Amino acid sequence: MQAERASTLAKVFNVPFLSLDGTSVEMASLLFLFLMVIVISNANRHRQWIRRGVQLVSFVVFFYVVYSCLGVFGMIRNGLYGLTLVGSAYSESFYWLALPFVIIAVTLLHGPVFCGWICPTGSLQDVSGWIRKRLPRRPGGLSRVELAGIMGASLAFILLLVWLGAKKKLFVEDSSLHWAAMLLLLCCLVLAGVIDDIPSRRLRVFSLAAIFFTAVSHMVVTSPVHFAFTSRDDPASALTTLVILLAGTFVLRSWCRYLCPWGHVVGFLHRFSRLRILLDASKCNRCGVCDTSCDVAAIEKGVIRVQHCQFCHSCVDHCASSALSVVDVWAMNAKRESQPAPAEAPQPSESPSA
Amino acid sequence: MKLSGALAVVALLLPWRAAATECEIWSQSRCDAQNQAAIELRAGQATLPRAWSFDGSGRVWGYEPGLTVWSSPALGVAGDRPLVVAGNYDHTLYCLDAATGEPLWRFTTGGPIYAAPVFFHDGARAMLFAASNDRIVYAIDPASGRQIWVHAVEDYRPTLGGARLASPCVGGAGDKDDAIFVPYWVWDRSLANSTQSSGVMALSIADGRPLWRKALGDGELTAAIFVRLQGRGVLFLGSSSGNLMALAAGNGDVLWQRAELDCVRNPPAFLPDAAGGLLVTGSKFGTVRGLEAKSGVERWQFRTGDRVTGSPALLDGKTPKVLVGSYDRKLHALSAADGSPLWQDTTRGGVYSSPALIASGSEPMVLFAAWDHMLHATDLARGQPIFSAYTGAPLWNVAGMDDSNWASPAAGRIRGRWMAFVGSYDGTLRALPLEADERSAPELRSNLWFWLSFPMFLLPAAGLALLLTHRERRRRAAAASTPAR
Repeated sequence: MQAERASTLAKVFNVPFLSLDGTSVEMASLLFLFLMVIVISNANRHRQWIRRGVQLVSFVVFFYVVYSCLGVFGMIRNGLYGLTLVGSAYSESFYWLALPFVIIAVTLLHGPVFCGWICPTGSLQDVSGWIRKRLPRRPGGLSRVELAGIMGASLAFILLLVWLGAKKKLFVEDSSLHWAAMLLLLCCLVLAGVIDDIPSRRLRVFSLAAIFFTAVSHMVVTSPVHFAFTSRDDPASALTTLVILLAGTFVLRSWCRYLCPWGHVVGFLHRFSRLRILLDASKCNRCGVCDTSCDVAAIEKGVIRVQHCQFCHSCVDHCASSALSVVDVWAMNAKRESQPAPAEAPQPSESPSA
Repeated sequence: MKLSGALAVVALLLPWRAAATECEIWSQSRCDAQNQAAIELRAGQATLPRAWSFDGSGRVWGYEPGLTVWSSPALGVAGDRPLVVAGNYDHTLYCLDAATGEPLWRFTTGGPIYAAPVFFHDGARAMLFAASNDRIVYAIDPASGRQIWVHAVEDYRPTLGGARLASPCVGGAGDKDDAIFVPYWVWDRSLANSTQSSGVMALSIADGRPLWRKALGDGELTAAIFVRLQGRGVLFLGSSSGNLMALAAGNGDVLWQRAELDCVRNPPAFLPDAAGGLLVTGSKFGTVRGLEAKSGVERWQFRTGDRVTGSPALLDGKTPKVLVGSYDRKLHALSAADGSPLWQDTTRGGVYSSPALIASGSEPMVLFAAWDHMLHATDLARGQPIFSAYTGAPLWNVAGMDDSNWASPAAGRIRGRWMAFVGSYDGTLRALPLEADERSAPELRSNLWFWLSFPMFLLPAAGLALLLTHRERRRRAAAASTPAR
């Protein structure tokens, strides 16, 4: 009877969402979040404070509104699962594919704002990064505090694993702890100078391949922070989140740098995205503020590593000479192609790989 | 006048009273419309029950969505022996002595049997009905395993791509149980006619003659539950396309239909009450709904943390309860009145099965199976865990198989002792004693793979990081040593 009363137009819009069983509210919340970031990131004043506010809102949305898994592993697994449903269960397929597709689309159109402004794992690491920046540091090496901290954390983590494992509380589906152990190991090796920061970031491909493998072989590995999205009891996910927080106090945004599989996807897509941060070499006074302001060390002496940039705009906001700016690369390229090449056009400085 | 009025009220309430009694014959997929899946097996020749297991894995077939090794079991009595009957993916229906596990007979069909069989007994004769994915409904003598009659719900044609038959249920249009109702789904893969179609077929119990057939779209259907509402037979069932339906058992007419539910994977449960009965269903998006059985109007809803694939089970009493498992790793006990949570029991794996309720006896409990490969028993009143028993890992190295309706446990009391029967995805049909003095120590699951996979993950990753650093340092050294032009 209710359906009969509904107008045809309402039916057209309503019916596809009926089987989503109220989850369209979540979808709308996320879309609103992205829209908010796109609008707000254009603000030039107090942008970093606004970013913190958006991160806070995204926390609330993720932890209290969102029902589907938005962890960095879950979004890959769910996306693949959604692909398998295409052709058989369209509404459900749409549900699982929607979020990864929105992130990919927004990354292509507006840069990797998900990493810098929305991702809850990234936001958590910003908290530990804030602590890190207030810890005493010794230039050129590890301070005693850092050394004691990382040794103590690693030891505590190993002891906890052995204890939980011996009590048969951990099984193969708790393998998100493997990522936690790897993160601690990488932080130790980087701080000890055994491995270097930049080349080790290619491990994100390894991490992505591992998640892909577990997804296609139907092995359950839950994301860090996943425990908070649903009402599942997931001690492995909670412990991994704790390790990520801890590792962030040793190496800023270490999870994003070395192991985030979704970060690799977004970084790859950023090479083709419409908006990008570019340096006007003519305005740069080589002060190095941009290097220190970037939490993921995506900029070094004015050279931006596009695949690591998280579009937080920190470098843009800290640059006193306004040498860094967000540029519409698509428009710039279209303009360049439509005009005859000038004899000596100023080229923005960028890494060769970008 | 007053007396006649009281008698009229009693007469009106009789159907509810009748439905509220304990399950006596396993005539529906989960024994009765409340999905309690627990029954007293009164058999003169029953020996004292003991733990047993029966391996039915045979040749391990490749996994495909929908596949299960065992169907949920059905329990009954024939030839004065307690029986457990379950279908298997090797196309065979197995019947074993429920007390000893002794195989009594087997019946081979033309397709895998994923649907729980049901029993029928009218005093004069006993029958067993099994629906196989070869599109055929079999009526079998449960004492001997001999075929009584068969009926194909869809005629063979070379373009048929597959079929899935849900558990039959016994009922009738009037007061007499004279029909079985079989939900079906068939796929015609011919190029000209690539269609999926589903519906419900009613067959005469006596000879398998079709009584009526109702087409219900293209979504795969759950088993139906049969209820008599004010003397009128009604079927309730769900579908994978998100519909929940009430059909008239007399002619298959759709009494009401709700279209806004998500994929419903298992039959709803019915609890009689003064307001016309409560129907409870769970959906794949994790919502448990309580509906008016007469109209389908929603009374309440409760959102679990993840998908619900099993059926809810309902328990009448002072505080009527809804028990439902969810992939959020919890068994939820809700108030049937308003859906408010009463208690939860948390496990280490998503709960995929429908629960079995043992409401009588010294230790009322609820049995359920979860993805931690355990059968759990929980105190029915407070949700305190009683015991867990390891029932084996899947035959396939895949763990997220929520596309299949894996077998749910059933409970039977033989000579005063409760036993749990569960067909596990490791291929074994098990019987486990539930009495406190007979429970064996739970077998612990190995976590060897957790430890082994640590070096398998860490060593290549650390080696790769070292290799990448080494290469980068060499490249930089080479660049530094090259004289600038």
